[in-house]
Amino acid sequence: MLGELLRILAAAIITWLLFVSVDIFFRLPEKGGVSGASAVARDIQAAGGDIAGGTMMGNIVSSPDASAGTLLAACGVYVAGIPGGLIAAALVFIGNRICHDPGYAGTTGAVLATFVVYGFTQVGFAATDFIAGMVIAILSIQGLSHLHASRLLARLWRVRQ
Amino acid sequence: MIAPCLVAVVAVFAALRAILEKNTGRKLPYANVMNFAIAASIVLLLNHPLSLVAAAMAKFMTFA
Repeated sequence: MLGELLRILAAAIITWLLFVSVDIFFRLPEKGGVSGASAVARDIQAAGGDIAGGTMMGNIVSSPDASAGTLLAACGVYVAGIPGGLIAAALVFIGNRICHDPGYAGTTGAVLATFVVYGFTQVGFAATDFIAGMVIAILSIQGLSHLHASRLLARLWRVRQ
Repeated sequence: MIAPCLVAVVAVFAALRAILEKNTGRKLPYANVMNFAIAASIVLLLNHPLSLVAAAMAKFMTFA
């Protein structure tokens, strides 16, 4: 039981690093890809948060990014192995086009996460650990403190620049 | 068995925060966390290839 909890915690850290680095690599904090993203960014800034971090959080809300890709890829690996993860990547690609999002962060994140999750299932992790881990990771960014999360994302964005 | 329970707790927590937050822009990230947790719980409870499609649809509901 404790072992599973520790594996979920480790999976949360791995998926957090994966989706934040892919999103920042694809310049999500730079501008709102769709109109809803800028609205979320404005409201987070009004509450004392950072505009760049808020924009990235808005982009995560309004279009499938690497976090959605990582979750669905982990789900895909759980139900059908590597082909399942790649089908998840195709679903994310379709989702991006439906949302008029020109970016490829979601698809890239899903393909990367497929191989990362599959690799860790070979060394004692279960795919379910990564599904729960990704939920914890997104909770830490969007569900606890928008103020601190947006400032942390903005700090990482300045490093990228 | 811990994973589905953990995900369900996160879903309820995020739903409550979304209800309690008054500002629309700040409400949406909480709703997004809830959708992540719901998509995850669909797959965790029903281990079937089609659950992946159901989870993707549940996840993409936020964007519609």
